[in-house]
Amino acid sequence: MRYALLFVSREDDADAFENLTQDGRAEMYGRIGEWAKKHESKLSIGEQLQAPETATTVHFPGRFRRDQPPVVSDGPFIEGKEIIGGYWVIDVADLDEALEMAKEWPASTMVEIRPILERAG
Amino acid sequence: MKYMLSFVNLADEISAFEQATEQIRSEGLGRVVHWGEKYANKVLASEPLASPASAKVVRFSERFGDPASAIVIDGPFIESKEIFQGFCLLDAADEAEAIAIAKEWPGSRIVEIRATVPMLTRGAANPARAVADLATGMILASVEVATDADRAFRSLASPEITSWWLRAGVFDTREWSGDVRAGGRWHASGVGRGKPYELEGEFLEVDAPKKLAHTWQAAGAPGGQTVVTYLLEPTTNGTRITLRHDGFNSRETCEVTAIGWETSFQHLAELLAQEAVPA
Repeated sequence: MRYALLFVSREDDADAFENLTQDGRAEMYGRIGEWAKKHESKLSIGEQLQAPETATTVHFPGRFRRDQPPVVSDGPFIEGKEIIGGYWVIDVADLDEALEMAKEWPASTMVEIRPILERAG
Repeated sequence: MKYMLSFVNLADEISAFEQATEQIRSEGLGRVVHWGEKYANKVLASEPLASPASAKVVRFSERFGDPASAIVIDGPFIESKEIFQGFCLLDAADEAEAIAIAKEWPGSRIVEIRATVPMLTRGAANPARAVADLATGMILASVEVATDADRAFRSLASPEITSWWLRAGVFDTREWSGDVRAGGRWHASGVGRGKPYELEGEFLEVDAPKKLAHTWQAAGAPGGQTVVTYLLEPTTNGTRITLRHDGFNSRETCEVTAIGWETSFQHLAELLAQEAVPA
């Protein structure tokens, strides 16, 4: 089963991460490194996302059809205190294994675990 | 540049689509397939997600994920009429191209486009360090990279800089160009905290693969010139890069730039380590 682990942080946690001391940062990257090493065989792609204020959003006005031009705006699609900061795609036996990995993730306020839809064929 | 396109749809539109006629649904799916084929060479990965009803959330009560504080709850992290349906990772020349491709996406009402930064996962093995001497306005930084000095030198003065002058959530170099010879100019632009910035300077010394020095300042701000000097030395595992960045007038700029060099050097180490792994 493949799952997406979406790393979500409250703004204040994200700020605290940025304001860590040098030793605090080194420790955090060390823990992330250990996590990645431990679970290496289950990790597919993973990226950190740049800050939400760097996002651009495209809105399509019409339902289903694309007969009206899209509208482009600055900022993320949802303004919230909780932001997606990154993700990993993992390949594990089952949900329990995905949850165990998520519980060990050292660097965000929460982790959302969602199955990936596999295309038929 | 890599961008994540997040596909977001309205809950009522998803149910309307599920209840639509066979013809409308097959046309809709056909448009999505067509988009995927058209951009097959740009889409590095495409991950449609199951419905938010199937989501679980691990929430930590302690800051920075103490496993002992983790609780598991049902449902997506945020309840909303807007449903995060999936994402793809796009390799686009620049943001304009990523937006143009997103504008053709036929599968959801909203697409969010956000630049991505590689996960830093090797920091434990070989951390980059940077220290700021605020009294004299100088930064010293150092990292060991798993490649030879020639290869490392190339990454210091080329468009490859856009892959490592980075700090996730803080700044992101999007463009770099330069005339790499003593007296030649360089220019970089990027986005920091959601605002565009430009840097520029002049190469003072180009002695490949041992030493590189150039001036560094915000574009169009002649007062704030600083000097970056890189020294490269072979080690048993690769190359040690030592950076000295002097001439800061502002203690605050000196301090935040030091953290920027530290994260940038970590990205550089990961970039070159990935390359060194035999295929």
